[in-house]
Amino acid sequence: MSRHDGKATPLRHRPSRAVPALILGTLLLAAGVALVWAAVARLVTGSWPVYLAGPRDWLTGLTWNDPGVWAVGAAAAVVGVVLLAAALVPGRFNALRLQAPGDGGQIPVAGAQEIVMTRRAVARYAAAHCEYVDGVGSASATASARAVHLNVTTALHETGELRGRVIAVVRERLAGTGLNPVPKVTASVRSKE
Amino acid sequence: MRQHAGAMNRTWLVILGILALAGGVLILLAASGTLHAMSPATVAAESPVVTGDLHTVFGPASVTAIVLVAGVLMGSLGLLWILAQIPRRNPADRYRLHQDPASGTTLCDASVLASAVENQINTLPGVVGSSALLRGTAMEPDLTMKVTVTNRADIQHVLHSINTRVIPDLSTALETPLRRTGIQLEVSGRNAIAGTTVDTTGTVIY
Repeated sequence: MSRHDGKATPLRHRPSRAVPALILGTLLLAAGVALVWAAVARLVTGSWPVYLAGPRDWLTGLTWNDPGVWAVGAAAAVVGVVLLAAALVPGRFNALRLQAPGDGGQIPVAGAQEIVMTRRAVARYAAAHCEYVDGVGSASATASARAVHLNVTTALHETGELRGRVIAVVRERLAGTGLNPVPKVTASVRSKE
Repeated sequence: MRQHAGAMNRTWLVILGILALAGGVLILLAASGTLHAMSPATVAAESPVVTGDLHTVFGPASVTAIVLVAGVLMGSLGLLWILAQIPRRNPADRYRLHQDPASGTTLCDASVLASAVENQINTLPGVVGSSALLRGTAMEPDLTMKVTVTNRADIQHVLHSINTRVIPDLSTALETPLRRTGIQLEVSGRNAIAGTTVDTTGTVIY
């Protein structure tokens, strides 16, 4: 089953909404199995399964203004809003775009070229270059589509100067990779003492 | 590099979301009596939800068949939707490189070309590993690469080498320009395959 007919798709994409899809797929499958089970039981034994008697009796004695109907209606509306939100809220991109090195059209590529660096890769790269800065004890980083945040620990008591230096170095290195646009770099420096 | 069912998921979530929301709002309007006030032909708030006898409705054999078919349909759709969540590479099968089948056929497995691309990328300084995938056709090939570099690598240099050496070589082999190329960069703390930097330590004695 090829959903894209062997064509390439963009490497930089938003979340695929796999979790809500898996939940709904499982519910659909469960409902389908229950219906088949009930139909087969009816064919074999000649009567509908006992577990359907409860819902049947509940439905028979129900009026539209019953609290149960209000609850079902409200639940359906809420589920609908949640599903629409899951589909329509765009979510964060998985990667950041890089600019290709200027080669003056030497690349024999007729169509477009897409170069991306995953958010995790940007974070690792930033953290690694942060650790090369003198005065940094250890560093970790998190990256979003537009910003990189560094968490730095140092043995220094005065952290202000180191913070500025770390931001400048990491920004320069990220710009050097060709990230376009260069993400905003922020840092939290914590003194070990 | 792997492809996900993002567009399909969004479409079905919107469809099911609209159905659930519309159904919920309709039930709430009926329960509050607003629906009856707007149109007297619809159900009143005090009227029963099920007007007929459910025993009679579910009595005929045709209803059992309908339930069975509906169950199979729902179950199949659910199962297909779950299976669609598995990320797929969707590579090209085999490129047909011949012009006229009457004078002979030349078939090339796209994975062979992808392996050659990977091997060439792995020789570049700063590269820890790579994975290449060819899609499209022999006339319009799409190349997607995942390149893992060290955290000290000169990324622009690696990209320049790929664009000036690897891609032109593949283009020459296929005798056609690539329709589209994609490079996904990953960063690793491991050492590069070629051009490894060796860390040295020592004590300076005065």
